Amino acid sequence: MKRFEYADELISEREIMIAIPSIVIGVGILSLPRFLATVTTAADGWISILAGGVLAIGMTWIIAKLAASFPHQSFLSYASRIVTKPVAVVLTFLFAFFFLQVVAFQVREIADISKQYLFNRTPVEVLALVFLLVVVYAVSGSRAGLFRLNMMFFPIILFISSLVIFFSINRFESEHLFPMFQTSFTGYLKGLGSAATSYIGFGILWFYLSLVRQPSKAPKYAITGMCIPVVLYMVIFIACIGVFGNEVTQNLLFPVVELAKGAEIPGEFFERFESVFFTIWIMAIFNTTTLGLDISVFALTQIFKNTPKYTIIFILSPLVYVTAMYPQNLIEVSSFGTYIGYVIFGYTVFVAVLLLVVGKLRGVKALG
Amino acid sequence: MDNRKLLHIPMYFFMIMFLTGCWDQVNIEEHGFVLGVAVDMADDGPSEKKVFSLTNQMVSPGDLGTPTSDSGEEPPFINITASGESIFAISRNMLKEVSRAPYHEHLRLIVISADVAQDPELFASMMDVFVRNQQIRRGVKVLIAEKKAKNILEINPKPERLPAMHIDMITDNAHNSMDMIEPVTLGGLHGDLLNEFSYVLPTISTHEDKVDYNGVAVFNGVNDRMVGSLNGSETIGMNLIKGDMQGGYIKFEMENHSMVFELERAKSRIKIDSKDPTNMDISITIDVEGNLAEMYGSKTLLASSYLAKIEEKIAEQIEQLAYQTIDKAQQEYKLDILDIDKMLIRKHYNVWEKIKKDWENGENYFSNSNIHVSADVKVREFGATDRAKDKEHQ
Amino acid sequence: MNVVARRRKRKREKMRNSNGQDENFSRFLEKELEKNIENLKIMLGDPTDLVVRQFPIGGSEHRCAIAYIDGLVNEDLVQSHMMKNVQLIANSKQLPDETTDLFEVIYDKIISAVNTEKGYTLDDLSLALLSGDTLFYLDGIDQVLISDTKFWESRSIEEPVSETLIRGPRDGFVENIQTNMVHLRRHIRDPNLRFKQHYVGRRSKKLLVAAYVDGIINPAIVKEVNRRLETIDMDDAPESGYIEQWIEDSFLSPFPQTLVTERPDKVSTALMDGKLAIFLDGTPFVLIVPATLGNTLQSPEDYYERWTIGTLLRALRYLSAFIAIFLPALYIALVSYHPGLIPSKLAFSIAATREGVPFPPLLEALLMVVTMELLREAGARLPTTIGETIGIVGGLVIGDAAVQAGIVSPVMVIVVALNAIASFSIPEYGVAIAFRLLLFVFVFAAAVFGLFGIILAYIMLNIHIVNLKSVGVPYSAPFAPTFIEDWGDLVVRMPIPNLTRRPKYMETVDDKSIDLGGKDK
Repeated sequence: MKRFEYADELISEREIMIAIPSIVIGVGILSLPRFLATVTTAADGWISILAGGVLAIGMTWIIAKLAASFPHQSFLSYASRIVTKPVAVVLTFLFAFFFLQVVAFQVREIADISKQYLFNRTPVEVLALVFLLVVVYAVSGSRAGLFRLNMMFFPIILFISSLVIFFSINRFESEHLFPMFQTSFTGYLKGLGSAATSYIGFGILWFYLSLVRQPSKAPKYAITGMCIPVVLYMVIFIACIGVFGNEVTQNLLFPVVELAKGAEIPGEFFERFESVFFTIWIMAIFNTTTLGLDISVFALTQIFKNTPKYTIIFILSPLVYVTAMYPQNLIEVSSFGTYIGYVIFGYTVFVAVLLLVVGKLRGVKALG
Repeated sequence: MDNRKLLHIPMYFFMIMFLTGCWDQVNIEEHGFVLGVAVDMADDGPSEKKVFSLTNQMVSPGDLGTPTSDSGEEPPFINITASGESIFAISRNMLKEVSRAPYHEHLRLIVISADVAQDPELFASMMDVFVRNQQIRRGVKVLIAEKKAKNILEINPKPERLPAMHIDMITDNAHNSMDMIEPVTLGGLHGDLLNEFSYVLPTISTHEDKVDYNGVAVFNGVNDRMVGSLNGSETIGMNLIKGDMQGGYIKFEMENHSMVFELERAKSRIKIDSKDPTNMDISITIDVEGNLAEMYGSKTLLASSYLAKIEEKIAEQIEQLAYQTIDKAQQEYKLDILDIDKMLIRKHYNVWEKIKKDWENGENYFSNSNIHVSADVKVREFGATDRAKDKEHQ
Repeated sequence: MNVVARRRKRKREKMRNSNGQDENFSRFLEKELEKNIENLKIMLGDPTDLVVRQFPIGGSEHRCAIAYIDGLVNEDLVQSHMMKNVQLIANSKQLPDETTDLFEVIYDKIISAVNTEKGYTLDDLSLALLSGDTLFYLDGIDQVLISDTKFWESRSIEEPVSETLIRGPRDGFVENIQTNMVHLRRHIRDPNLRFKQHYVGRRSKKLLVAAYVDGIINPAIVKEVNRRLETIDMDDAPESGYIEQWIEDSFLSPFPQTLVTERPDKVSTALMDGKLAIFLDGTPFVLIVPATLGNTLQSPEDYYERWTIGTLLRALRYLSAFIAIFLPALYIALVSYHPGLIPSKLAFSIAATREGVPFPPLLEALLMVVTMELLREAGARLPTTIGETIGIVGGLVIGDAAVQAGIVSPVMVIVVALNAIASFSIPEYGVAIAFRLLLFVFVFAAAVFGLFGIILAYIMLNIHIVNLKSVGVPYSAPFAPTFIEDWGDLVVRMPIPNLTRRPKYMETVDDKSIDLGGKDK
């Protein structure tokens, strides 16, 4: 008889569908409109977002397809079959390392933004520490629990985003969107860079697909999941430009939070909606951070099979904290973020290409 | 053993809590809620350095009165003025005077006096301070005071007892009259400061205990300096050209009787012929709909010919108002406050790219362009009756 | 798992000990009647309520005896079905002389009590005797007949006090497990209704029954619950709370992992959803496992009223759960950290009311919430009439006086009162209390980190909930793991004809609760 399969460590395809946008949507979008507005004219940035999105969706599909062809096998095991064990160990280790950087970046950003919008004097170090402790608590629980958390928080995140957009409609000035299509090609390309790196996170599929009950269905769901941030980013970006105009967007540190700042809630039940928005958004960042940390832990447990999960977590968390606290100011944090974005995007693509090509050359059976 | 270790966890939590938090805890009654800020040039002080003074209007909640207790005779606000060379210095000075630290999250109004706005550079850098401040919302309204900004915050209004609140609500009525413009928010001004386009800010003045909210101050978009102002009727012209109005009235004379046309909707269409960028032909059509609200004549309105005459008269009036404003913009200020530049960007981006340096500045193609205005008026209603008085013609 | 295994081992050891211990009587039955009676008396310590009657069987030399505990049996039954039969009816028949045969004849033909069994050991009969059965001894044989003559005074069926409904059956469970099982039978006349018996309490030997409907419930649940019930090792289980705490998954969680009810209708609905009910003798409170978070905010009345009203009530309850947990914390966060979030005019009037209040909002809130708890506790312990007085004195006098004295601000009084009302509107008492507990966590989080603290506390609460299971079923189901099919009966309550499927998260054997086509089975 069935024994509550959904309650054990396996996950459903639907959970993968939610996990993808959960890890993608984080702090990136809060400042993305600024980057895009600097390199594109008026609202043309949406093309970059779309192009980056298509790229990311394509990558998602390739990774999901590749990983799904080795059902219920860990990344280390199928990578070992394709590119020998030592190389696979290095690849896995690098994944753990890079995702750890993402975690550190998210932790730092959340502390910085919280300080900016919610606090004045509370030190960033404390905010980061408290947040990190909660993340560690989550990762120490069951892995299936993380996916359930995604499921719990994701609707709330979508809801608050749509609320912000909805209440911005009356401040939307369509003239800000003009002129259209006047951006130079290099401008789009630069925009594509920022946009694509804001979609990083689909690399989780390398690892989590081994947990999916029916891996063959997973690619379809993963793509659907990836479409959510693409659409959301486009809408948010257009809303930002429509409300602020390109010039102002360029000059706002976190245009999306400022968008919420101006949102007028009927009845003035809440003034300063941005605090509410950002508070809710902490959940989105939390999702990204936990999944990132969990991937690191997951990758390392594959390498060090005999080490308990908790030991790894307790070693990693101080590392995350120290890394997060390393940048000295907002500019350094921002360039740290950009660097991570490019590195992870590049690395994920690299691994995909490597595994595909080597797999084809060596004719590893389970492929395709 | 296990259980005893578990008990340690809450203990650590308590320790962490008392060791860390509470940096930012300031209870609500310890804040000095600033509702309005006024900036003036300081009267005294050495002339070499620009010394200005800042007035914070703070609420004193105790005097505001609650439903249970009668409000005192004391006005429910305190105006605190301090002067210095920078906002930062002023804030420091101000802390010496009040027990409660100023708290700007509920700020409604920033009033800048005209002489501060006219000063080169001062206005933009001052606004920068406000925009940068995390506490201040982007929805805060920015007004220019014709004389002393501080006076604006010193009126004693009724029934709203807080001057800043009072003015805040008055500015929200702008859509009902034509000589006011929609209030400009700090966020909107932020955009204007960043752009090169010239812009306008609403002006406000006091007469005894009343505020007068009409007219606009004209700002040069390049150096963000106030260069002049438009009075009430010129503002009407500007509003009509920019279109998108929902209220207001126009007085006109008809056969020696004055009549009042109540405007319901006005929309403008701007057509630009950019064949010769140095000397463009711009034609503005203003579509106006409305009712006859008051008439002091006695003729029947049902006759279509008469109505057409009235419509023509109103159109004439509107065109005149518009031309008056255009003249002022083109000749006196040489600044495109009519937002024709924005239209150019939208519809003629390539032309704009070429001429943007010389539109309001340099060659100033704006003042060279030929602007033609035509108004199209439709009187929809004239009340429930044709005539309600005046039997002399029967 | 480890804990359970350890407990089981401990139990086994103890059992061995108790068997091996020195006793001055034999645990096995003897052939002589006198010896047997003697043994029985020694074991029970010759109690005054033990009635032993020895007499000869009519028309023969054989001696026999009956024994029962006075007050536990229906004496009429003993009289009419045993004494009379053995003494009189036996007389008229031709009885065999052989003791074994005679015993069989008496067992088969003479004793006419409905339920009669044979007993072989002293342990068998002591449990039976103490449960209210009557023993029949025959001289010369090492067996005993045990007749079911149980009868004791029981409370009459009343409306459940802890769960009153406006509309719904007025009957509640009582302390007698037999009556309760009958109750359930009357609700579910399904041949698949199963009662699995356990005895709990090493000394009290209370009857515990796990009830479920075979063919609906997932066998994994039955197996798991029975496994857990078998591990129970305690002297006495005075109330089902003991059982609950023994079998629950996480004892660190503030949330109850079983539902508790006195209502037969609630139990029958739960069984139809593929759940399992645990009855314990001596308490009207029945446990329902597994429980989910969604279940705790449901009341039977949601189904009895029309679906629009049911949905409204559900939504209201989710709102009240929100208020019960968050309101004071939000107030503290807003007042102490983010006054900018409060609409200007409200902010000014709150500031005005707080002027002169000497305590920070945290202390103010704690003061009021603790007072509230004291009032609630005092009211609950006192007789109803005095309890009401406490409410008036506490609510009106203390509240008003505290405000007048400037110790707390009136807004805080409103906040705390609203919060208390909200938490009392939650149907499951255990959950309401859990929410009161969480309230303190949130209040502290808000006092330390404002909104940031609240959201982190909320995230931690969610982390806890998603990791919590009740008998293998995730507590957060069907929110996450998501079963959209089950959302029709979660926050909203769909019309009854649309609720044709059993909850998916229960993984029931048979998933249709209403046979739509009428064809299959």
